[in-house]
Parts: sequence; structure tokens; C-alpha cells
Amino acid sequence: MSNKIYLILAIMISAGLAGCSDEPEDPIIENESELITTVIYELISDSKADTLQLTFRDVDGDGGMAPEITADTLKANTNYTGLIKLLDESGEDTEDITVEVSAEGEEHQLFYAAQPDSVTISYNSANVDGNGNPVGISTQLSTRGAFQGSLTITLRHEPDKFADGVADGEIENAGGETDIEVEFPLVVE
Amino acid sequence: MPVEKQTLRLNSLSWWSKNLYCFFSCILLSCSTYAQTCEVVVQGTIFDEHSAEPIQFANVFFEESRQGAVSDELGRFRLIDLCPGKYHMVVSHVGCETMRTFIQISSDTSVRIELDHGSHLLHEIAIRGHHSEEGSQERHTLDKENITENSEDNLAGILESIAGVDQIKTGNTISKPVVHGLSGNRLLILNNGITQAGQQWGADHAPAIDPLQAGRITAVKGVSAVEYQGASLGGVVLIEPGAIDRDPHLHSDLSYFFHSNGRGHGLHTSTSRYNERLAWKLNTTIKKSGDLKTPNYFLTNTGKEEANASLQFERQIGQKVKAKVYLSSFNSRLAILRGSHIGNLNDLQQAILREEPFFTQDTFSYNIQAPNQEVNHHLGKAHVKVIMNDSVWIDLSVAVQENRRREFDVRRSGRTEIPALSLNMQSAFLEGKFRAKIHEKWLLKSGMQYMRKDNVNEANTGILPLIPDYISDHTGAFTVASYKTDSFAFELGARFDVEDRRVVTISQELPRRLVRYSNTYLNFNTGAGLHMDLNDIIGWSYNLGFSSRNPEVNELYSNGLHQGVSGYEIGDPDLISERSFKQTFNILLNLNDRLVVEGLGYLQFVNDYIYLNPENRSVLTIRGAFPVFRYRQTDVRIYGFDLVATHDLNRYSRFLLKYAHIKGTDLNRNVGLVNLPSNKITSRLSFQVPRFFGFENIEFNISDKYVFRQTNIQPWQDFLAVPDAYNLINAELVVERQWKNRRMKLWVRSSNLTNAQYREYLNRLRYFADETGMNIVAGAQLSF
Repeated sequence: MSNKIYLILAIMISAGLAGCSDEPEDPIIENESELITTVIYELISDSKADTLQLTFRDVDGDGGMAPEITADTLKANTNYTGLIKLLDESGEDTEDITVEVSAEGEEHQLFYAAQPDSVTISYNSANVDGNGNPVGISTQLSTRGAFQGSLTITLRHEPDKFADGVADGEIENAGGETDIEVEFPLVVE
Repeated sequence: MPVEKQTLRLNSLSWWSKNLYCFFSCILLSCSTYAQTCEVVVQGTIFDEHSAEPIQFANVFFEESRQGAVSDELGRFRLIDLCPGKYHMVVSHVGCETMRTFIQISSDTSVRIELDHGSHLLHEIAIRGHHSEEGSQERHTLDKENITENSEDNLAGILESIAGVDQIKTGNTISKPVVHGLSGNRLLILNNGITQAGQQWGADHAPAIDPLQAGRITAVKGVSAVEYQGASLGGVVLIEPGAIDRDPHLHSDLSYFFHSNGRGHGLHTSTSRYNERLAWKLNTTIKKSGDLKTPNYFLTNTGKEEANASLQFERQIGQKVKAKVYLSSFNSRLAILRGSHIGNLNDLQQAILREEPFFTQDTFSYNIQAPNQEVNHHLGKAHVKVIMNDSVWIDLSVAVQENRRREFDVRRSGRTEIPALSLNMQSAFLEGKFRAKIHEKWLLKSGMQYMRKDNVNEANTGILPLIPDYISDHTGAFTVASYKTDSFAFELGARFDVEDRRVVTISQELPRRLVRYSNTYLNFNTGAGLHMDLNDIIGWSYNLGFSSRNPEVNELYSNGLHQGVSGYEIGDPDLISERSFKQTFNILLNLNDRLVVEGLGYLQFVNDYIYLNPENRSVLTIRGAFPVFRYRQTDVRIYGFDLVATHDLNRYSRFLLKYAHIKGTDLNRNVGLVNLPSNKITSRLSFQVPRFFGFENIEFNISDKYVFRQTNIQPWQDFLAVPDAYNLINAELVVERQWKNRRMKLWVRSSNLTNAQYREYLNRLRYFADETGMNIVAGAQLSF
């Protein structure tokens, strides 16, 4: 009887050792369909004379290489039409995520905050969701005097768009979770 | 006068059930005269198995004749005018698992029943004499009664009633047990003798085990559990199925419970039948509950659904071989508070400042929406025990497990339906154990285990995996020698393990590519223990152990944003194994028959303790800047003590006091260790009445739990100030009733009676919401 036991133990040991060679199969590298790598805030002056861009680009996603941030200089006392472009540039083909956000307008809203508060940014009244609340992809930006500061653009997913002040672009009561929060240097000359 | 003596083994005792609470170890039947008419007298005495003291207030009932009696202060009972025949005899006592047995009565009979009355102290005190088979380590067991009366709770919640055991929670649906401050990768959970193979690493990954399928749950607050495979730096939790009662008839337990907070319902059934050739038992559980409520608002999206089943078979093959098969399936869906899903640090700051979480609804709902988890765990086990002779026996086990975990997040464009994390772990386990009694006092146990785990991220989540795919092979062997006399026990054991792991990760840089790692770890565990009963009053034990734990894949290779805690976590492939050195000293004072005090002190040093360190930098992402947390190693010291005292005020009432103290220090930085439980003190007053208006074993408890503020950590070690101390009052009433061959148990409990508003330090959702308010649980169990 005890011989049998040793035999079983021997089988167990050899099974254990035999298992020690194989490798896990190659996993599928996920196509990060939801990733936003790039935010472009394009500003066209009312005279159409100037087209400026503020860009945030982090093509490898979170971590890895640091993101690249560039910003053109704005002119004082000028009105601009602003347009947000959200892109996924991680793959070979660039994907326009703005379309997704626009299609789910009721669940999204962009917020703009300049520091110090020396420019006025308001939502374009044409860019609204099914409930008539702003989405914020398209904006009007007016500069006053020259200054140097920053502009923070935030995209919230599932905010409470009916909360106090949210439709006017105040983020405090919006809630939801942040999909994008990027800060650009803002120079007005 | 002819005296015939019989010894009956009344339940299917296996070698460990010496430790079972409230069973009859033997019944001696003395038959004196023969009687064929219904004039048979059955009388008997009920004794404590250990002290041989008589037990008062035990209820004895013969189902078929509906006759019953209560034992007097000398433990005696007497039933007259019984007809000869076969009976189901039920013996019950407050706080004990009711035992039912099938006996044949043909004449006047005198019965001696030995009850394990130590269980009267419930799980609060480690019972003396219970060190026998299990070594000298402190173990505290919750029996079927404890589990049934807490049916609505999960595994960690039920275990928390043991001093020194806490739970680390993510909201109130997800919780993990913590033993002496350690949990997760450092706590070994054995389901039916098999190392639970799942995603133990995550703070929001509760063990996929249904406590209602278990017959008993044990926490070993030990130093180094060499007999089991896996890391046991923090102790061991054992979940064991109940034995199948040796009753040839089909019997069922049916229980239903309701809890007001969350409006939850649950149904549990247990059906069994014993047969010489094949005994079986089937357990099923279904549970459903909705949004929980704090004193002031609903916790929107905190429901859960569970459906579990297990099937046990036992077969005796000849005199020497016993075969068992166990199959179980655990399936749960758990919602996570909607307001705790955040995108970045600013969201977290905002959430912290709010009175009530974002997304809080005014109305109750059973809906489970993202964020939520779906977890399935299936286990199949075959076990053969071969008794070679009176002193040598062998156990062989084979088991397979599948653990599937899918986590859903709030996502864009309908992707909420797609899991953000989808992991499947399959594992196989083999074990051979050998036990031999050498002379009368020496016991030698030896064995080996092999486990293979294959962890795969299921494709199409659209998100890079948090932890990589891997295959690991884990082989280990152990030997324990123990020596035992009536008042002295000694044991010495060692274990050696080899783990070989092949990992495939995905690179952070573009273009993405596969990076393979392979690592091999050697682990060594050893422990020694001494137990001594100096006299009837004082018993003590001392344990000393060394154990090591190799780093797990999450600690080595995780790299990414952990949104729940708003941190960017970076693993370190160069981590080395943790080495722990722990000692415990336990003293049990039986001051007189009415006052029992137990104290357990422990001191543990862990070298190269792996923890997440907040680095002095942040990583900038499109969602904003996140603080970087990196897995680092340091040396820590954890010490504490658990103190329990019970005092019998009179025959009907008892007072219990329980205190747990713990302190952990990072010795390299000289700061407190985060995520350790707060000190707490519990007092409880119990009243018991054996019979009242046809009800039996009536027990009423009122308890008060005070949790101190965690003062051990510095403000910079956390996002939010540590929550304040809090006090909870609970009350409970349990009654039983017998009708012919049916037995009913009813319980009502109210937790947080004062509807106190509080937050708990070990709840990860403390940043977002208060703990739950008052809850009333009502349950009924029918046995037939």
C-alpha cells in the first residue's frame, strides 16, 4: 500500500515539474477605443485673419512619455470663435472622439476656466444637447487687455447638467467624472 | 440485572471534528429491562465533555413522540411513557448547534450525553483542549449557528465578531477579512482545504465564498501555518463544509431572512441524506438586496445579487477508505456606490467636500449599474482518505477552480456594457498528506501540494490590462511533528515552497509590444509552539514563526491609473520576498466557573514589507495630474493584543468584554503603518432562558461596540483626515421551537440601533459617503 502512495507522490512531483516550462500565450494588445490622446482648442478670430491653436498631446496615453503642450499667443481686445477637437492619435489612424462626445451631448459638458479671469468664454448657443443644455464644444472667446495666465479645459462625463450654474459654465455643482482636464498657458498680447 | 452497554458515534465524525462545537462525543446506553408497551423511560445526564461538569438547561426532545424535557442543575433529564421504536432525538442548548440523531429504543434506557459545553463561550474564547489536533496556534471557530444567525452578512462581516479580526471594505457590499492587521496577499483563505485561487490582491476584491455553504469558519491567528500552501503572514481563514448527519432519512433546513437596510431578501436551503453507500448534502443560497441607506441618504447603486450552490458526496469504501466529492459554485453581482466613481484628484477633492455623494437619488432601487462587479467562482474537489491502520492515515486531494471577475465602469458610447477588467483564473491543485501517530503522544504530519494557476485577461475590454497574464507553478512540502499530553503540547514544523511564474506584460511605450518576465521564488516557513495547562485555572501557549512571501504580480508589474483611489500605481519588477517573524503569547484564565479571561499578545516584524508609497512627484495625464504611488519595501513592526473576558452574572445572564489593540510602524521612516484597523472595544450582555411559553433556548443580547479613532498615522499619509471614533449599539433575540419532527428557529437583530452617522477608517469609500444606518434583520429557519 505504501508503495502506491510513493508512486502517487512521485506522479505529483513530476506533474509539478513538467508544468514548469510553458509560457502564457501572447495576449491580444487591446485597441484602446476609449482613449483620448489629444485636445485641440482652435480659435478663429472674427475677422478670420487669425487661426490659433492650443494643443495637448499625449499619444502613448497615461504614463510613459510626458505630454506635449503648445499654445499660440492671442491678441488683446479680440473676439474668437473656439472649437474643441478631441482625437485618439495612438493608433495608425487618427480617430475623432469629438463625434462621440457630440452624439452623447446629454452626458457630456466642457468647462473653461481662465486664470486670472481676463478673458470671457461663453458657450455657443447653437451647440446644445437634446435638453437644450450646452455641450461646450463650440464657444465664443473675447479677450480684453494683455495678460499671461492659464486656461483649464475640463470635460465631464455624466455631470448634473441641470444643477445650479452648470448651464452657464460653472463647474462647481456639476459632479460626474472628469474625462479630460488640461491646462494651457494663456498669453494675450 | 443484565446491563448492556453500547457506544454510539452519533454523527459522521471525521478526524477533525473533535473540534466541532456541541456534538455528542458518545452516548452510553444502559438497557435494563425489556418493555413492549408504551411505558419506556428514558433518562439521562448531560455533561461537559471537557470538565465533566453537568450541563443545565439543555433541551431534549423526541420528535416522533413529541416528548421533551429540560436538564436540571445536575444535568439530569427524564422522559416517561415512551413507546419502543426508532426516534429522532434532538438535543439543543443556547448558543450551540442543535444536534439531531436517530436512535432505537426498545427498553428503559439510561443515556449519558457529553456535550462540548465549551462552545457555550461561543467563538469568543479559544477553547481549552482544542489544541490537540490543530497544534498550539490560536484558532477561533464560528459554527453553523453563528453563520445562520448572520445569514445576511458576507464572509468578512461574519468573521469580524472574532477579536483581532477586522474587515477592509469597499462600501458595504465588498469586504475582505483582516487578521492582526494583514489581509489580501498576506492572508491565506482555504475553502474546503483548497487554497482559494482568485484575484486576492485588490482591496475591492472580496473572497468569492458563500459563508452559508460552510459548516464552520475558523480564523487562525497564528504565526506560520506550515500545513497549508500559500502565504500566511497574516494568518489563515478556513472555510469547511459541515458534516453530513448520520441520519438515514431525508432532512432539510430551510431559512429565509430579510434586512431592512437595503430591503434585502435571502433564501438558503440545505438538504441531506445519509446512507451507508452514499451520503449527500445539497446547499443553495440566493440573496438580493438594493440600495443601502445611511442615516440621511440612500447610497445609490449599492445593491447585490448572489446565487450559490454546493453539493457534497461521501462514500465509505470498505473499512479503510472514505471518498468525498465537493462541488460548489459562487456567483455574485455587486454594485459600487455611483458617487465613488471619479476621474481625477479634483473630483476626489470635490467628493470629499460634499455632504452627500454625487448621483445620490431620493428613491430606493434594486438596480445594479456601473460601476459594478460580476464574480463567479467554481470549485470541484475530490478527496480520498485511506486509513492504513490505527495510527497511520493518508489524505489525497485533487481540485480544480475557475475564478472569473469582470468589473464594469462608467464609460462612453455604450461601452459601459463592456467590462473594463475581465480576468479569468483557472487553477488545478493536488495534495498528498500523511499522518502517523508515533507512540501515544507523538503525531507526525507530512505532505506536499502542487498548484498551477493560469491567469488570463479576456480580450476586447478596450483597456490595457491592470495586471498581466501569467502562469504559475507552485510546489511545496511540509512536515509537522507534535507532542501532546493532557496538560502539555509542543509542535515544530517547517515548509518549503518553490514558485515558478511566467508573465507576459504589455509595454507602456509605443508601439506597444509584449515583454516577458519569468521569476522563480523559494519560500521557507517554520513555526514552533508550546502549550501548557499549569492547573485548572491557568493555561498558556507561546508560538514563534518565520515565514516568507514572494511579491505578487500586481506588486511587480502593475502600471497604470487606479481611478478608484486617484493614483498612478507603478510596480517594481525587482521586488524581493517579504520575510516575517511573528510571535504570539496566549493566556487563558479560568478564574472560577463564572469568570474566564483570555489574552493574546502578538509581535510581528516584516522585513521588506511591500507597500504603496506616495512618491514626491505626479504624472500628467489628459485627465489632469495624478500623484504617483510606487510599490516599495520597508521594514515594519506590528504589535497588539486581543483581550476577551466573560463573566456569568447568574444562571441566566452573562457579560462579555472584548478589546483589540493594534499598532503598526514603518521602522525605516518611523511613521505609522497605513490601513491598519482601529482599536475597538465591545461589551455585551446576554440573557438566556431554556424554555418560555413553548419556545426553547431563548437568548437575548445587547451589545455596544466602540471604535477608537486611528491616531497612529500622520495627516500627510492620507487624502482625508482619519474618521472620528464611533459607537454602535446592537440587539438580538433568538428563539427556537419544536413541533413534532419540525424545528423552527427565529431571530431578530438590529444593528446600529441609534442610527449613528459615522465613517470607518478601513472603508475605502470613506472619502465619499457615511456608513449605513440602522438595519433590522429578521430570519427564520425551519428544519424538517
